[in-house]
Amino acid sequence: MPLWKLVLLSLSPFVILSGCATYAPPRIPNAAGRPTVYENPASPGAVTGVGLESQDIVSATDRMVRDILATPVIAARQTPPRIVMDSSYFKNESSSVVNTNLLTDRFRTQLSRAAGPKMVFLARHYADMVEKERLLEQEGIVTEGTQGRTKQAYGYDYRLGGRIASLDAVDVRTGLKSRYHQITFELVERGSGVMVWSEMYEFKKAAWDSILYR
Amino acid sequence: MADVGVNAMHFGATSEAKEALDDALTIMGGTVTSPELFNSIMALGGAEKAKVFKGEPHERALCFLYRGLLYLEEGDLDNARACFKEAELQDVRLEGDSTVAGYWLSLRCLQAFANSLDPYCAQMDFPADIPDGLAVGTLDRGDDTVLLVASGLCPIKIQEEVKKGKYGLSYRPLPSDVGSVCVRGTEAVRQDGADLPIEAKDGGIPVRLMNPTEDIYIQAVSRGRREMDKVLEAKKRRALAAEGHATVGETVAQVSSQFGVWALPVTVVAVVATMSEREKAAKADSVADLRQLSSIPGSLYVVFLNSSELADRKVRLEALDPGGRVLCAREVVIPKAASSRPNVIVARVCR
Repeated sequence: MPLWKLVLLSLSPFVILSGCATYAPPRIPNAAGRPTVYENPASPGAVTGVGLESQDIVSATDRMVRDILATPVIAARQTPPRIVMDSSYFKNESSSVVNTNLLTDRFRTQLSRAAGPKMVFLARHYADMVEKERLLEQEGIVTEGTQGRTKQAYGYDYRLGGRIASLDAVDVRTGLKSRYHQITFELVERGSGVMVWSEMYEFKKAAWDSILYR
Repeated sequence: MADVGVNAMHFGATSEAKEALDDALTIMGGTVTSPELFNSIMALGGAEKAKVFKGEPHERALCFLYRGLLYLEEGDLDNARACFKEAELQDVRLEGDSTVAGYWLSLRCLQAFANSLDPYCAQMDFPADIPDGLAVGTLDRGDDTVLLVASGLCPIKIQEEVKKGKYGLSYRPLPSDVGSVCVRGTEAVRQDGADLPIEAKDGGIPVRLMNPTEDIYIQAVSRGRREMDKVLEAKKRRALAAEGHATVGETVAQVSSQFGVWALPVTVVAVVATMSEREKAAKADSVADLRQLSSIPGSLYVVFLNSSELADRKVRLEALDPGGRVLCAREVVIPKAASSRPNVIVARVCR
């Protein structure tokens, strides 16, 4: 066989079988770290998921503050109502782990600032602190405060209750995870049990996990 | 951090466990989207182990379970339940065309326990039917103590040919000496090595669980193949094809070298082509991510108790071999639980 034919025959398998795939060596992430930066709590951060996050808490409480200020039964009373606003009756029934104090504390502080003298907030979560001081005063160990002696702690007119609930959906094939949250805030009148105000904040988040994790 | 957290739980270091598990669960519970990493792994020659390690679904579920136990201990029933629910969502699987949550008996029982402690929750929702091969202690309203015994070692991850031409991640169980777990009162202590009869009662002690509440190996393998395994198969096929080309090249080089100087160019080309194909084969052959949590147990046993019904506030916890002989035993003090804070006791048997 001529030499040129031998060369051609020898090379042909490599011509046919060689693909067009290019090889790129894996890039090992070797980025330098990042110094601490402050992020806006009202916007999504670097770490995300489908659970409750800071921007959800900010949005929910801001909306509740606006809504309650627009409710005449509470905001336009002649005598400022006394309100207890804490997490004692705020339940988390969702699949997101969250400290419910984040919601109730932000709601209370924002509303207190916005409402000014139109609403009075009772610190029932500090009741033991108040009671200890009262006992010390009664025993004569400490003097009265500058506002004189109060006979007893105030009762409330309205108390906050609420719930966080969620609904999950996962698609294993596409890696899609979605979670619907419904956060309900309600003010209940003492004695009668009438719900004088009720509002809900709902949102749904979806994210796709990379195929690496499906 | 997940390993640190789980180990800390086993050693009773709850504050360290909380910190470590919170860090780990921030990543495990999040969504990782990194286009650059994805492209480098999907390209030929990428290694799956370059991905962020989130743990396998059963590992993530266990981490959420342990974190939920910590919330239970603090009396935060809502967040404990949220952890147990999130744990079940980590292990979602495909059954036919439907996506279903994995069945974790331990998680459902722990949710029922949290419900039983919650004055606002009317239904406990304790699982009515216990699957074959599993067992759990009974739960009554008024039970304020959960005892979780972790035994054995986690299943080992391997990459293997699971079926002809199909490669992927698989598991091998590690055998454990523990066949059953018994919780009894301290007054019935074994003497002279005699085996005391155990009468399993409905409620109260002694309680003997003849099967685990959770078999981690079954949880690991019952999820089925991963989507990533299909990518690994494609890479394996390319690697085998490139290996075949290299073999052809070697043969050509050997044959043509016998023709002496006249076949020198052919030999050189064949050798160069062989080396090139071997390099492609090596880099196309990708291995499944074999990283795993080494601290998770192979089995879990869950028992519920009422601390006010225990004599001397103590129980004797025994790990028995399949023949009923005691492998190891320990007396555990069970304090009277506070009204809103149950006792959570985690025991680790490393056999």
